[in-house]
Amino acid sequence: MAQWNETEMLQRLQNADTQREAFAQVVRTYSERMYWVVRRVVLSHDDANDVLQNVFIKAWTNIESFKGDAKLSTWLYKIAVNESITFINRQRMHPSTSIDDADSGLLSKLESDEYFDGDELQRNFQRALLTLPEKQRLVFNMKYFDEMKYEDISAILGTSVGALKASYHHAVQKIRAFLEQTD
Amino acid sequence: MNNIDNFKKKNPFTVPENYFEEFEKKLMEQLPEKTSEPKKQKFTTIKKVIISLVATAAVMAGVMFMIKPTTQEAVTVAEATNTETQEVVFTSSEDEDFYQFLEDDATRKEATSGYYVSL
Repeated sequence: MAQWNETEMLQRLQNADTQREAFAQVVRTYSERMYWVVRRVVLSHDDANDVLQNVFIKAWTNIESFKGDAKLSTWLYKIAVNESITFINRQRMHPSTSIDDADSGLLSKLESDEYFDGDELQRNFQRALLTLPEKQRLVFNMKYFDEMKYEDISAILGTSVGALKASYHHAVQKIRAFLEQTD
Repeated sequence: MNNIDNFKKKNPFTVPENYFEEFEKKLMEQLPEKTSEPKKQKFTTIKKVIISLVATAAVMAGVMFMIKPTTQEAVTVAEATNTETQEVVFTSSEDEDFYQFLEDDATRKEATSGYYVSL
């Protein structure tokens, strides 16, 4: 959680003399939170590490365009979500990869990931999550794991609260159905 | 297993030891240097140019007002004034003190404009 005044931080980020030091503080404060946003989408640690670096490099490159209209955390969340989706889509766009192959690719990477120590039930749960459409999976992750308010998710994804509630409800139903089938 | 709440209790994903501490350090090392000038300076430069253009236009408008009489004498005076004015503007275009004066002057006008409006 940020321990600073947003206005003061924005001023430091926009000032060439204090920009780098202020950004280090941003990385220190938000890297763990953003890591879990990314990791739950791309699943393997190595991929999450690469994507997380891109998130902060992109934030650094575009810091001048951040005017403080939204909270810094919301802005970073947006970049993290976009970079994660771009990473997944890039894998899917590979000529020899179908959507199912890409999802099973994510799963096989997860299974060989030394930084995943889930049991068979946990693996099956991840399989169930991968059956969800991308945006539904994001909504589910933010609500279920991060326990975010719908209003905050709405600010990040640009979707109405009503639509998010419906999306989360459908996601839970699909996951339950998948787990019942594979029980 | 129908109760999906159970999956929240234990996070199956792990990270290498000290990952987040090292991440910050490595990331800051590879961040590119910013090459562009700070925005504030750019803004000030643009502001100065605009103020000098407005000031020049105002002087020119004043000169035009003075040469409105059509007598030969008035035209001669206007020409002399115009030449003089242009010389002043040209000389001052590189003079930081002059720009500063214009900026201060503009600030004073902004500050007192409410007074004039209320009259």
